[in-house]
Amino acid sequence: MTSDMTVKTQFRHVGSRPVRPDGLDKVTGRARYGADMNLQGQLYGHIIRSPHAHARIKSIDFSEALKVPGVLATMSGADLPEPGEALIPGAEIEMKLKNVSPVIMARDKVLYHSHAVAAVAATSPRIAAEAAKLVKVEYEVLPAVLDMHAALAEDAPLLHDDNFTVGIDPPPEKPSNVSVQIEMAKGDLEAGFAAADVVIERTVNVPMCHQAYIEPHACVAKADEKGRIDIWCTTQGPFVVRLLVAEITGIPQKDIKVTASEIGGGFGGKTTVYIEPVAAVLAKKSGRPVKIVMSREEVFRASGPVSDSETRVKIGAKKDGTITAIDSDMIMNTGAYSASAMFAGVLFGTAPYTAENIRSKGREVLTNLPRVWAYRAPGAPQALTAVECVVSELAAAIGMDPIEFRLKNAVQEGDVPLYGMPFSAVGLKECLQAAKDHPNYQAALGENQGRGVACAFWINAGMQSSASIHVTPDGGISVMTGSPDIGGSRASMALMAAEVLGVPVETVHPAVVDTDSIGFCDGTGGSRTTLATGGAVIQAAEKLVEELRRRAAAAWSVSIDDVAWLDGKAVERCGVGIDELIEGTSPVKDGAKVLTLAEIALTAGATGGPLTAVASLHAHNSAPSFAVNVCDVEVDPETGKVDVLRFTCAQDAGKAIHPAYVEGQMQGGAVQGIGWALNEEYLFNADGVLDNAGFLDYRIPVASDLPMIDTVIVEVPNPLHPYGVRGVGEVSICPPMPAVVSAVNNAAGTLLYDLPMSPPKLLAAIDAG
Amino acid sequence: MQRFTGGAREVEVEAEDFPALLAELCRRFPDLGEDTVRKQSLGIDGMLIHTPMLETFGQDSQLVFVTRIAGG
Amino acid sequence: MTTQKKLHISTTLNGEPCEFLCEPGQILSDVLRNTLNLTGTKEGCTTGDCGACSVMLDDALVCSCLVLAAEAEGKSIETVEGVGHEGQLHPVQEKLLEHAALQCGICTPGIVVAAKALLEKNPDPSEEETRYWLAGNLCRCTGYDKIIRAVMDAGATMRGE
Repeated sequence: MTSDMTVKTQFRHVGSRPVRPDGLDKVTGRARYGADMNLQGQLYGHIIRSPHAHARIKSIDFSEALKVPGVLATMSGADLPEPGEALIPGAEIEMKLKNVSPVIMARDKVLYHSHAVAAVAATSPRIAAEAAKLVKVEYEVLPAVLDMHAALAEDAPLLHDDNFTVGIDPPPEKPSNVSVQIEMAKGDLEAGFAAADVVIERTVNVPMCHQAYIEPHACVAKADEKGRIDIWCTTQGPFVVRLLVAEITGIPQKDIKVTASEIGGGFGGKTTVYIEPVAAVLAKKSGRPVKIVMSREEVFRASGPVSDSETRVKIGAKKDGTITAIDSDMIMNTGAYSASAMFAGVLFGTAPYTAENIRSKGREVLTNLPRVWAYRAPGAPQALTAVECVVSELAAAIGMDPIEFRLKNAVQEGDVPLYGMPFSAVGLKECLQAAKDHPNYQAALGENQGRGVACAFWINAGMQSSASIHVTPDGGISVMTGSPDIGGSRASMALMAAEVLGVPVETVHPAVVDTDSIGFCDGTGGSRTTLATGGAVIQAAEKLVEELRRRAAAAWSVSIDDVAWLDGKAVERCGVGIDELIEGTSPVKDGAKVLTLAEIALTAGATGGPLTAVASLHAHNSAPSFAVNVCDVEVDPETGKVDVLRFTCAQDAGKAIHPAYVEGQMQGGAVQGIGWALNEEYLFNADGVLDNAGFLDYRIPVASDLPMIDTVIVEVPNPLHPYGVRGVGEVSICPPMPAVVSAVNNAAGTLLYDLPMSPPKLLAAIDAG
Repeated sequence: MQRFTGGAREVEVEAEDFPALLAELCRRFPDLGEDTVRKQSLGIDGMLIHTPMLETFGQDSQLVFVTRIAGG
Repeated sequence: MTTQKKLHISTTLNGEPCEFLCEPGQILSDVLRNTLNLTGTKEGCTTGDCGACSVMLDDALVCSCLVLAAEAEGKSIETVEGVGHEGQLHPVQEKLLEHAALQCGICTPGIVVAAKALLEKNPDPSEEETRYWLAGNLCRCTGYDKIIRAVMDAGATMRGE
């Protein structure tokens, strides 16, 4: 299995910054997003949601709603097959259908406020909304548990009376609200703490938040007379939608086609379905296309927010800065069904450090709140925030520079993290050094100002991807994949195809196509698209080059081995070595025959037919990413308001295919982390109703909150990828929270670890002084 | 997985490929069960295989089971 | 349920005369998107908090989700589809592309309309002025850095620098 592959280091196109191919449509308003599609004769779906956080559904009566002119279909959980204990086959991780299907439509119980209970479809949005009010749902209200500690109480009301904690030996006899627990350890924890000169222990709370993509979930589904379903929707993974709609509705995957619209942000939140199965069922029942668009309020209340967590971390270090032991214990909220990323938190929270003695424990807790879902490096920011805040305190306690302290403990090639797989070449030390060398790190701090440093890790995914390339008769290149472009990936696909084919990047037209038109692709997530889908594009382009050489060889009646592919042209070798030609150490012989890609394409019909190439792969060559952030803040001691003064991100991209979009991922992740640290949180009232279900009260960072976000792209190539790519989307959100928290505590002289550090909370901490 | 291996963290196994590895682990640790093993990703000499099934191994391959993790 | 008679509204839309029928309670963004098929104007919240539906109504930059369609009677509306002309991009559009100042792009139409309005009012805005002007346009992808640079660069281009 070991690879003897060489990683390319000299590039023509990769590493340049062309205008993105989908850009014109986006700046002119022509790009079509989820809600921009309308079909003739479409109905509008409206979902009826629970007014209670926990209740038994006694009955649902549609009779009055059905009397409204224009109402053509209704549905409830009774229209979906019972999930039983089945696992969803082919899902990214183990997922029980019974933890997914009832999120779409509740069955016997509602488990959170705004849980979907029923739906109507009508000829206008207004009629659908009016009719929805006439659907009578009778509830038996049950006591609810609205936070993790309430859920963990001995006599807590149970969400699921068949939930027996997984991961306890022997298995428990009583059900509880803990779905799973895990403990990972290495070394000798006691000996590690005994060897420490300083030990610091803190409990860090990270709040429930939301991915807050600006585009609400939206879809249109239609069913034909034979029951074949056609879905247009905004998603990070059209094949994921196909799978989940099939599993939830019982319609076979072979009868479902999914087309991904342009996607208006996802950050993990659009790697699942909420409305698509409902639209499919209503379309099937009514025989008319059905469009559903979630309101912003519905997105906040009833899509998958992000786990809150409470993590107790204890770390010991010697006076020389060596970390001797790390003990971490985390509880993570999963809402109404098991879906959190607690495992990632437990496994990855300590990954930046070489410490030999580590124990990391975690429990996933069920509560009567919305079922959580993925958000950029799911599970890792919560765990790393806790560890990094304590690491920064330790460095200060022994009087060491926080970057020096981390450099002393930073992992490198060959080190083995808690999850067990030894690191190949990784760029943590390089990122730390880059942050240290940045002018921002030397900037003087004034009164009420403070600096915070943090580093972070994310594993990055590989998984399955497909790509297909076609050549137009005049030499244009179409590149098709099934990976929605969420942050500029089409620009990367075009660059990689141009690199292999040796053609100008402007002649490459990348597209994201529907599930009938391309081989299977896992979703855009896990920072995998540039690595895995890009890998498929590279492979397809390489196959196309071979075919182009074959056509030229046939035209010249020579062997394919006598044809080199140089700068978009087939060139007769005339005895010169291919490597010498490619490297330019030997020139092309005078009189050597040449055929351009366009010339070969023009005669393709006569030389073997259309020029196409496809590649499908399961990428096993992913490699982890590290990042380091440095944050400077100023705290207003009168109001508790925090201003971010300077922000620096250094991140190991492996190889930046399109550096501007790598910087964009770093800057976007940083600002999401700043928002999570300072402002963003779900606020529930005593009945479990979200009090801030809108952008006015759930305040994400706005332009005037921020400084420029300075970036340093570090490139330590992934030794397993032909271009050295690692993946850049997720690790960027891991270090900003602890960097901000440490900066604020340093500025304010506080030890506030209850996030977000909103003005009233920070002011109280300052006053408690 | 350690719950089913009597606490063992590392074992030496003779297996040319994943099916043989699976059979040998289940023979040695009867409580383990194929499903528990199949739920894990597998690291083979630094390559992370999300859903192993037919992978082959070298003479001294180092294999690591890693809890399968979802991305965002 | 009461059915309300639709209103007949006459406006100028992107420089051309435009008439439409709307319900009295219908918001302008809904009519633009779903009656007039100008889906470049985006709806991220319909409560005036995200700015994705920014349009010009006469000389005012507004969230079209906070304006009743009927209020457009006799007025001039400019949407993102009306920015740039005769196949030429506006400098704001050019610079957003050049600076890679969009990722998902859902906020981009609102940013284009709002930034153009800024530069028409203040041809040489400072970074702080640009940040405060665009504070009503939420972007979740970019962290705003490249957007602010692009808009200020567009200003420089328009000033002939």
